[in-house]
Amino acid sequence: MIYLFTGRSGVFEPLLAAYTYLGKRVKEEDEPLFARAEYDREGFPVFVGFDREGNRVYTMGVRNYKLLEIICAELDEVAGRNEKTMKVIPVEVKGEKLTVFFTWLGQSLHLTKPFYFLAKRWVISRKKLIEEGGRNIAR
Amino acid sequence: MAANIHAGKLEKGKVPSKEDMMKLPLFDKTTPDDFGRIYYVGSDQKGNEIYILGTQNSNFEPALRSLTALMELDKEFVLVCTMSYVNVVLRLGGFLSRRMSCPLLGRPFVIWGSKLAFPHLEKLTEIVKLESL
Repeated sequence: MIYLFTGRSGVFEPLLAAYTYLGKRVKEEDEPLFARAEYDREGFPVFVGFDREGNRVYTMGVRNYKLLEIICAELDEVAGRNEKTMKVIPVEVKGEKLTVFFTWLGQSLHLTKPFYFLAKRWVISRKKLIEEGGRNIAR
Repeated sequence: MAANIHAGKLEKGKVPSKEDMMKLPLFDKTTPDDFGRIYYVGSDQKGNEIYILGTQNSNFEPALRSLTALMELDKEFVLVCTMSYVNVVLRLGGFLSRRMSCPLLGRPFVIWGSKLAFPHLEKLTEIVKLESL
């Protein structure tokens, strides 16, 4: 089974939820994925790690991320698979639009560093809310 | 429309009439619930099954490719994105007919836009067939 945490950006809210699911703690300074603009590409998966059962955990950022769950189920059905190969977890957290706005500004103005920093602070300020979502999945 | 051309349900070299288009099961009849659903259209001469999938978002292709790769289905599916063939007229028609739920206004634009796009979609299906040889 593959776990795919999805949201508007793969390196913010879904990543924090994935870390919580894996029982990892975010160390801001030496964090290789969190708020990193170079991995923030729409539609491209970010590998986060393996869970206790050896399942691969990814995040992915897509504008219409709620569709991914439906598409995965449909792909499994069309391919004639009886078992789910991927569990898609949409990470919907209040305030995600502001995160997207900061990252969009950063990319549009070619000023990723300051705007990704702002987005990072904004996500961290809502850390508890996001982590709660990740914990629910772990249960 | 591209899927129907590929499946041989629309005659090649002849721009389809309004009636031909409206006979197609999902043509300008989708609802928001259809986004993300995969619908069977038919089979090509080689017996390959042809499906359609609408995603609302124009930049969904990388996500779809990533999904099929992660699910190890990338060798079973040939993904063909038709978004670049959606012209301004089709866009306007689709917006009025589907988004604003006003097919009376939007459908003439959808038909007109589809007629304009038809030759390009025909070429696209030819390329897809050649590539899958």
